[in-house]
Amino acid sequence: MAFKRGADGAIALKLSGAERSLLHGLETDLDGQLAAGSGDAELPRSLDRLFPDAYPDDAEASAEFRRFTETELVDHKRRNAATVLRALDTPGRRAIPITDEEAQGWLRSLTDLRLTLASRLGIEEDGDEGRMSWLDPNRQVYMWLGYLQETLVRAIEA
Amino acid sequence: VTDTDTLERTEEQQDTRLSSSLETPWRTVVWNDPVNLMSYVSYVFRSYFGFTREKADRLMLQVHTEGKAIVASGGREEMERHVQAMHGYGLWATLDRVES
Repeated sequence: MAFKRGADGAIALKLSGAERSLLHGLETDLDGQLAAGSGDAELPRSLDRLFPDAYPDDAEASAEFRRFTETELVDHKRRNAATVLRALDTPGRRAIPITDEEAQGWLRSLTDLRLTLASRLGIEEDGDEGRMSWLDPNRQVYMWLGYLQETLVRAIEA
Repeated sequence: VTDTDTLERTEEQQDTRLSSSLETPWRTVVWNDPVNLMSYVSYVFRSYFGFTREKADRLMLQVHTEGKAIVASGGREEMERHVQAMHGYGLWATLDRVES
């Protein structure tokens, strides 16, 4: 249930049907939040962690930085989500082939998902996730996404 | 190439480096966060900045244990590009002026 680079040199992703639809739902939700902030609209606060202040001690310079970079960054993140969704929409139950270029979009979008989920779970410092209940389904999803990403980093470098 | 040529070129390079460091006192800082995996942070440092595994791992561990690491320094525009790229990867990056 993870990414693996096969003997043919290509990366493939094996997911159960339930995992596939879970991930599909999470990415669709993420893309919806990103879409809500496109154009002149403000990004939802739930995405704060994806767009940190560039200048920690200078609010004005941070706002300026946002004006010049945010649209492009939102666009990239939405394209990454689209890459993931396209792969998950691949018909059939076999392993999903992922090109190395697509893998870059996957890496970033899995990170975006984990960051938004962590904000929702109140994970703000090292070790916070250890204090949560093992039975919390959100925590299980968060840990699972981390596992997926770990296998992806390994597959990319294999 | 003679030794003199090499010497002159090295001096030129040093001059360029010196003047650019005087004109461009900015740096890119990556901060610790509890979400990003150590393997991922090291991978980003290697693939984006072209660092060796040793250097990438050292900086990643510095982020993890000391709370932050300076990953690049130079001109303001270049550092802004780096920060934007790091935000694209989901890393918590900022830029600031080098204290003189």
